[in-house]
Amino acid sequence: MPEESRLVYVCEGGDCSEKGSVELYEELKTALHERDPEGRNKLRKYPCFGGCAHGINVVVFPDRCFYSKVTKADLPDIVEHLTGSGARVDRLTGKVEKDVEQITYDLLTTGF
Amino acid sequence: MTPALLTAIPPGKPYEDLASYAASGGYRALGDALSGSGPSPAGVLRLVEEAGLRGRGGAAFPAARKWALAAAAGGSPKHVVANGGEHEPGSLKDRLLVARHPHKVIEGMALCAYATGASEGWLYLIEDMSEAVERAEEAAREARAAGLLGPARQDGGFRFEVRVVKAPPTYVAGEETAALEVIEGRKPWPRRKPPFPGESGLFGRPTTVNNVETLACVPGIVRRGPEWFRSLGTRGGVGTMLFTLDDRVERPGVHEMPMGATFRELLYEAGGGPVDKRPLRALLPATSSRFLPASRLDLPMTHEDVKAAGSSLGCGGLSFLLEGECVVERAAALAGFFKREQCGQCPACRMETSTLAAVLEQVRRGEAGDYASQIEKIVAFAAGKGHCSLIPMAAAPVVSALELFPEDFAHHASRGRCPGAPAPPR
Repeated sequence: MPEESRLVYVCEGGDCSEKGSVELYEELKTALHERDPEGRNKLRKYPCFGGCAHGINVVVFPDRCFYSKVTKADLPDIVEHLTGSGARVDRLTGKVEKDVEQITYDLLTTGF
Repeated sequence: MTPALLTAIPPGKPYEDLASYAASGGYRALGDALSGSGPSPAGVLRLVEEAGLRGRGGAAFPAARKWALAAAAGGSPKHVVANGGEHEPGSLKDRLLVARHPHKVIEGMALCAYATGASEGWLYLIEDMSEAVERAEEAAREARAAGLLGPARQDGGFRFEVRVVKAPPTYVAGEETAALEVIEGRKPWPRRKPPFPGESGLFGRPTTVNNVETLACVPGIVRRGPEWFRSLGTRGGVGTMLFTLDDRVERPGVHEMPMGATFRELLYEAGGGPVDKRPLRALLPATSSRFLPASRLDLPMTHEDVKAAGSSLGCGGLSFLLEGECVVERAAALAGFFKREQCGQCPACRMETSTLAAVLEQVRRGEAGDYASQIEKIVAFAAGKGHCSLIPMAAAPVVSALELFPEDFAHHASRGRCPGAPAPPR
């Protein structure tokens, strides 16, 4: 899949919302707009990944990159990943359960 | 059929009060137990077992097995919880039963307490059931004044007290361990099992949690015998069961039917059939069960028969789909209900209910991807997880709707409207 169609999902489930995912989504949207005015990264909301203990969760697809415990302070590094160096933010990966990560990629592959 | 539960109310009275209940043999079984002239505690348990009484709250678990677990468990005081935490769309039977026949429930609780060695009773209702709450409190006062209920005795003799508890109006509050949490003053979140309430329930003590209808069956079983109770059923069914029909039928409301009556007898004979005379397309025995095709109308409503057909009776709130009605709209509404009503405790349940609702909404709007694969993957991921049974309950109507009526889904997914609905004007 070409880089132009990269999708960035922010969880808007109950737990992530309580931790501020709605506000984080808006800040990420603003930051991406500044760094990616052509919109190569499409920002989306996701109902719930099921990784509630590790929210706020942000998933980059098709990169198969599952960021957990994301806060606003992490946004510059995530934006750099998406629009700059392309390097993942390792400190935010590998936290969520493996089956949660897998079902997320499986569902995103089906177009959900 | 002569009703066993919804018996006649004395003229001029809003409910079966103590005097009228006692006049028809009520509290005789408890009185015999208290005076020593009736069966022993083990004898009462044996009668319930021989009657084949199964839970009427939805899970249909054998009542005697729950009772036996609590009876055998150590710890004091033991508790009995009569669960009337009914907040399922389409079911009104618990609130009606308690509002009309509170003494049947209270005597059933007391007999359960006698059999299991409990001294503390909790009649658990939803706070918006104002009529049922009022009658339950009044009935408990009447029974207390008559010496049938009261605080534990110092000499160790049987004594049983009943308190009425009001739960918040949420679906999960009706789950048996969520009820324990509410009674202990916390929010209605189901507990992880085991331990089961019979071993460690309310305040860590052995507790028997039965639906109010289950308990209301017990006085008749003890007084008239298990054979009498079994004979109330038909076609292999045992006893009677309360079913609710909504106002889409000629005679809506709660109907007591022999267990083993057919769906046709409930819907068309007792309920008078749908007001809209279109042919039936599908049955949904309860909100949390699987759809059955209309060809199963003559299926006997026993737990075994309905399970063999792939569904369950649940708590008996029967709804249906008529020809020309779209299953996608109904499935989307049900998925939305479970999304709203899940308690938020278990991540897999949050994920399943949120994503199923979102997939159904996408299908409804004609914006779906590979929805069949998505539903299958979501349900498989969540299966076996969670503290309670809401995960399979939320999946059942959606999965069965897709299996039975794939053409409705395909039409909606490609056009964004129901089969038969006109295309929007250009």
